[in-house]
Amino acid sequence: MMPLIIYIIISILFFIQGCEKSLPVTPSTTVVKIGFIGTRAGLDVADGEDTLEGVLAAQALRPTLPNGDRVEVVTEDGGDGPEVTKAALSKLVNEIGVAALLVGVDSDKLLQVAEYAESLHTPIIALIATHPGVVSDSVYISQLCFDDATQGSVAALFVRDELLIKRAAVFTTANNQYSAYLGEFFQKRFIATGGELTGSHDVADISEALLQELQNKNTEILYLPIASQYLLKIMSLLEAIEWSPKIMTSDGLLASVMKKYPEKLDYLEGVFATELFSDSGEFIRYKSLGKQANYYFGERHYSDISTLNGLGIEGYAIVVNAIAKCQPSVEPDCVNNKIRSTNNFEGIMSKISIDEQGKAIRPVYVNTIEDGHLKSVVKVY
Amino acid sequence: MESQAGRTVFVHSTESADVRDAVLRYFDNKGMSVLTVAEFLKEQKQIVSQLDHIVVSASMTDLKSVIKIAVEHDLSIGVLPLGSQKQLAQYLRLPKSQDEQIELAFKESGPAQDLLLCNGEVVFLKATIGRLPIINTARDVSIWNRLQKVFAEFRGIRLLGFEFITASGKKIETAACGCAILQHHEGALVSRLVTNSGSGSDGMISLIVASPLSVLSYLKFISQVYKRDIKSRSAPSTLGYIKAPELIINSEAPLAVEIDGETVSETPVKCEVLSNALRINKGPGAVDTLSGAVSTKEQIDINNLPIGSELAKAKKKAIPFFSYASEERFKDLFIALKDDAHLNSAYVVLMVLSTVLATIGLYQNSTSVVIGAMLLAPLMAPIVSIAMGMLRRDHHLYKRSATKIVVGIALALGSSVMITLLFPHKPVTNEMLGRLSPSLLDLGVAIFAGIAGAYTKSHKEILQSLAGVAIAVALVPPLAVAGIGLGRADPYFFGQAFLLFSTNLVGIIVAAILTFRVLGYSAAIKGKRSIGYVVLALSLITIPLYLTYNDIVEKLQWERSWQKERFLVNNKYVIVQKAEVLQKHGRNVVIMDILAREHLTRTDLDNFKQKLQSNFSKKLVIRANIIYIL
Repeated sequence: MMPLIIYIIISILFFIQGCEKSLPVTPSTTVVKIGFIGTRAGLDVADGEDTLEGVLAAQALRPTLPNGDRVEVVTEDGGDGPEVTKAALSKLVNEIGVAALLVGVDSDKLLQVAEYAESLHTPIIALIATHPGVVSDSVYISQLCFDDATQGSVAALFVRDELLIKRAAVFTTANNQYSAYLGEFFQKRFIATGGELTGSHDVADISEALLQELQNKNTEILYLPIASQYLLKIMSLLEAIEWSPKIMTSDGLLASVMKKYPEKLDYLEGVFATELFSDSGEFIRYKSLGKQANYYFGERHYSDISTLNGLGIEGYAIVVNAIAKCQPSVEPDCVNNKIRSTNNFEGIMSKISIDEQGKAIRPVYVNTIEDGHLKSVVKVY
Repeated sequence: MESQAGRTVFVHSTESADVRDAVLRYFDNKGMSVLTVAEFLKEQKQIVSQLDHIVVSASMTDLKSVIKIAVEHDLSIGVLPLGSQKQLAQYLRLPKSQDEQIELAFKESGPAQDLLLCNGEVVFLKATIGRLPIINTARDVSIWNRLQKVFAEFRGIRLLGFEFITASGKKIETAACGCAILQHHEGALVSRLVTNSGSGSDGMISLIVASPLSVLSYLKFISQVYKRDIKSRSAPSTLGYIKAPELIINSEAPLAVEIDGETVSETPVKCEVLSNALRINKGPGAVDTLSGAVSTKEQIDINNLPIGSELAKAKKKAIPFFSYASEERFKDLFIALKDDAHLNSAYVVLMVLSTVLATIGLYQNSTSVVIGAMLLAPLMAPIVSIAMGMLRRDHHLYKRSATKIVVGIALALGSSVMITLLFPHKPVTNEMLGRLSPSLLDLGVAIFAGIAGAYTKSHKEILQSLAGVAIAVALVPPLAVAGIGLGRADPYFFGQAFLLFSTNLVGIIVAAILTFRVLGYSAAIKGKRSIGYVVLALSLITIPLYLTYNDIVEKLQWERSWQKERFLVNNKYVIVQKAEVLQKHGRNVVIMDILAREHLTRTDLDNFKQKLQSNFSKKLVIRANIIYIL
């Protein structure tokens, strides 16, 4: 009787545990190449360096395809101008023969080379570009981030429905397409939901007098999709006139200030931002890929995954997933189709889908800085 | 210093080179007679007449050789312990500083004390015969090795026949797993076993005899030793104690005699005391430096040892892990359990009343009425009885308890079906719904309630706690819900509620069996077949409970996530204010309040549902109440 019972209990345990353990992959000699282009010098160096760090971490975690083919990441500097980026694209596609490209440059730069990139007929994942124009007329470029229309809507509606704010002013960088688009979309949604716009200005015009004027108009919040140095400038001016309205800003800005100006963190206390990721707080847990990557970063860099690292990791994982579905072929159209039919892919903190138009569908986090730490406020699906 | 280097020799072995250097340093390398143990033993005849005092630093064997010579020639002794001789240092209460140890060792004023010899071998700390796990386990090894040794010592431990003959000729025949002989009561864990007053110069030997009823009682006693929780009035229940000036120890088969950690002889062994034969320097606080009257009478405390007719029985088998309790000893409990298994009219009436009350309470959605029904319910008693019946393979008790339980279940189901059929309205209340999702947590409650039930039943003085157990485990309300399910002809309703009842029933039985076993109500699990069936049932029940548990965890996480999760549907912001997931007709029904500023169309709601569904592994039916923000 006892052996029977033990057998049944063991069977039940097996049943409960499931048999998820996969067989080890036998490495093959075939190499599949993935290209990476990022800005490796100048002001936006972090965009390139940090996303590449994420890509390489993901490659270290998943160095082969399920059939054993080895994945190699070939990197090229995207440079500061469109010609350098075009040259890098050409080299990776025409000379090296990459199966897909991961591009870690911002919306402005990518928009400048989008037409050329499209002509290469190679699937591209834009890791950090959020401007809707990046994918609007494209067949081969897909976005990994939510687009600015979504981000702007969430920002406006969060301000209206969560913070219950009626009057807002917007500052944008007029010559930056990303900033201008976000500012415009925020205004549109904010007004559409009954909000009142007290002012819309180029951040280059910022002054104490202008802020005073907005204060006099009972402005309750400033929406600031601008670069970190401008944000800090506005914060110091606000301090000077002793006005503390609520501040809402856009993706990557909090992380950027925390990294570039850690001594100025006090300025950011209470600032809200739309983000791609959040802290690993109570209700947000790292998914499987995120857990491995977080452990990897903790072991090697003694740090958590940054937003840019996270995008590099997710981009690599999605491309490898798409290539694996096309195996043994790495035919560009197949890989591109698989990328554009990504459905509920387990990203670092949430599921990611990419639709037929190349737009990413993923949650938007609204974070804030509280006691010097990034804290999640809401997660918007 | 009273006297140092005059008629003193320092004797050391090869292991004590460090101590020798320290001594030479202490005396500035002047006027000190230093010999190795080998030299001393060789030249002793020539030099002892010129000596008054010997200072020794050597291994235990060499130390004892020197002590024998010192006793023979009435010389005093000072000891400088090796680094590894911590017990010896503790026994002599030596100071911690080496200079102070040297100063003390070279004094010539060591007080006279008794010397214990067993088969002619000097016993410093203790001599042991047989097995005394933990007490006699070597301490100079790693914890893991020590644990292994302890397990090995416990494995197959049994009581052996021993015979002790005291100086007055008194002969004691008993059975024990081991015994320890000591003359002084300090320096070893075993010394804590001796609660009688003692002295190093009373001319007496202490003998401790261990004869535990079970491994568990031995461990309990060891924990008392460590906590120094032994009452001074009598020896612990597993021990016997003999104090005499001379002892002869025989065993049914020759056993090794271990003296101060080394096996040096075997039984039979004769232990005797040489009165005030040894003059040895001790630190302040050592036994014979303490004043006070001590008894020099023979003392025999063997009430806890098996003797006479018990002896043959005790020697038969290995010591069990749990204590065995005889039926006579727990007669009251068995009578109570047999009464509990007896089907009588009071049980029938109470079962019907409690179920009717529970059913009405469930329809009323009244927690207090349902609790009242739990208190009235008499089902716990036969369940505890059946556990004992299975454990002891008492077919009579088992069959009567089983019959009583089956009748109880039938009565409960019948009563609640009747009430349901009579009720014109049959609302589904939260009290009912709460009993339709049994999970592993419910099994946990049942197991602990089973332990509590069996424990309470075996301790008359806490019987009133049984009411609390009845409330915790709640046997009748799930049965009433199952009956309601039958009355509504709803198999899901019946199945889930009956699964909860089965969980409670099986969980309590298994836990009560184990509890009775641990409490010693059976020497072994006798009814292996019937218990096997119960364990099998428990294993099978675990599968749906595990799955339900996962559902509950997912549901709770999901419901909690609303606090921070929002939805953007076709550019409209939706806030879920409140949501609850309910099981209805086997489906997950989400009832929620949602806040929105803009008008939500059917397309928006479909989009919203898709997004909700992507975060939940089971298919959802959503009922939303839309509240507009103005």
